[in-house]
Amino acid sequence: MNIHRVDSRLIDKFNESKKSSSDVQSAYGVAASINSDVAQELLKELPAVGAVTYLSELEVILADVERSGFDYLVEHLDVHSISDADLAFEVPSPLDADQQSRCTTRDIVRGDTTMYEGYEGKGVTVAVMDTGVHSKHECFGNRVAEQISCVSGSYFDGDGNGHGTHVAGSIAGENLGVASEATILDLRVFGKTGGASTSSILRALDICIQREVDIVNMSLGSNYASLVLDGAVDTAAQAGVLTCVAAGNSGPRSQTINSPASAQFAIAVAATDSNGTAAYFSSRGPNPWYSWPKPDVASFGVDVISASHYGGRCVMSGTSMATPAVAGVLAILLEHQREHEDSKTYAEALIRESGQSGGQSYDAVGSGDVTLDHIEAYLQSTSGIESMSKKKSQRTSRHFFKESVLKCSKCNSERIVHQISLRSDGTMRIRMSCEKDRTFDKDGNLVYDEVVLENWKHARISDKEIIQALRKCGGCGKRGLVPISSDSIKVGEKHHPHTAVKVGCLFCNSKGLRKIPTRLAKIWM
Amino acid sequence: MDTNDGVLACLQLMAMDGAKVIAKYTGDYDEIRNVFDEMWVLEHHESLSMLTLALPPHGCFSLMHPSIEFWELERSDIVTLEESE
Repeated sequence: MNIHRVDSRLIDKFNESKKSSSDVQSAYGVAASINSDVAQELLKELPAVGAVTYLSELEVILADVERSGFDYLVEHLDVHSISDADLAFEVPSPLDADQQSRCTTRDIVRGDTTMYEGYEGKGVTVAVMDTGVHSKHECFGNRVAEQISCVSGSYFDGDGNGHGTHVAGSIAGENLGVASEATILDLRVFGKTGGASTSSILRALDICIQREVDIVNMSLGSNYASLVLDGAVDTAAQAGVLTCVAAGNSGPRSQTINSPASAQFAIAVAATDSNGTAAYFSSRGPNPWYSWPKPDVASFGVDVISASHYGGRCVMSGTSMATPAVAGVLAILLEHQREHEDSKTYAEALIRESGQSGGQSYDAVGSGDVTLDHIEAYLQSTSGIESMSKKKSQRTSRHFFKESVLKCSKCNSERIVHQISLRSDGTMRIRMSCEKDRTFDKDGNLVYDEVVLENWKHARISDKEIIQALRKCGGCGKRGLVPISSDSIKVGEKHHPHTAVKVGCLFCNSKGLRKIPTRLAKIWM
Repeated sequence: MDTNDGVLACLQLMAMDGAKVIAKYTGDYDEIRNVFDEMWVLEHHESLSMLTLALPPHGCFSLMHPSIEFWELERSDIVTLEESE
């Protein structure tokens, strides 16, 4: 065996012990990295003092050995390296019970919520794009559904860093995370050493879109602006994946938000302490690269207790730790939204609107500190989502948007979308009709319900949802409309380019026209 | 990126003896499939309309194709965001 792979401090310890005139030999704790094939043989034959522990996940043997045991390991050909066990495993110091009860994300972010009591993110998949997750940690049960290495040329071998396990624990760890029944998809983008590459991030986002993951947690960042990273995050968000991204730890200087938190549709998360005060390290706005404001929201990210990749718990701080709090809250809101089809909550809009800033600037905490208590208080104080303004034609029901974005408030049936206008000032107009309750003018033309969303970004409906709505046939009510042909149409300069798509229904053969932004037409065609 | 900037950027890439880049394309992949030698295409991120390319010096000007919306050098310095004590 190569002597350079033995911790020099151990060699010194055993050499000192050898020099001693006493007959009593000293034993020291060692951690030996071995080939798993020979583990059983080593466990039997190693002359150790006391029990020998084999950590199969890490392929490491832990034992207290005297000089003879140390020499045995040094000479064994299947031992890769030997370290001082006391130094190799920096197990965090125990935390007193009081501190433990105060500082998990679950305790701070769930608070005393009654509205969301019993909601634990069941049926919601959260992708954790990180250093890997120690899936055997007791807090995860069997909820780490799959582990994929997105690092080029690497197979998946757990979490060698600890960051990913801590993050996943804050999302879905039992007694630690906000959504303790959510499913985790572990996407490893960091190698054993160094940073993550752009390609590995793209690979992971590609998987999120293809698998229609509900939420992706990105507790990572850079110190530059990247069109590629921002573009990829926006594409994922447009495809319906809720993307939570850490704002960065370059505060308290202003204009310190970089990619991918700077992406338009990313939910960029700043960090606060347990009192809701912005952490000094949390990156601040305004957004130095684009016109849209950042960060979007803030959440608990200082001295956060969560799962350790050695087992047990440990404490970490950072916007990395605040991001999973928001991802966890989104998982709860999504579960609630799915169970209550008539729900007034629209998860992403709620997250963006309901935070409490406590008088702090938008540059520090975005729209405010997100907790389930704050969301509950917000819903009690408003009848819906403020950013969805209701500038409608006179014939439109007054509370059109109270029930759900694409549903009728009278009969709760889904609306048929006829026309969408994206305007350069950030507003979106949707012309729809209810499939059951339609109004016609004296010439027999359909009277549309017209809705203008004042802040397209905040009141955003994913492309996937819009196209689903566009596929609904006015004749038979089934989702059978397919594009037949399309023509570009001229609209005013204040609109983005639009296309008129001729459509036909696969079920009832009726034909019609849908006027929509060219961007959407390209996706649909 | 206007044409002049695009040419300059490609020249710089040539001077670097080629490089690994990420390119975002618009439209259908089939339309630009023949722009790049298949050996250069390391990965196609289909859902994102992006390509990871290993371009040799003589392939750098392929990035001037009108279907390429933008491109960047591949980087490996994205970090986790935990704050050290």
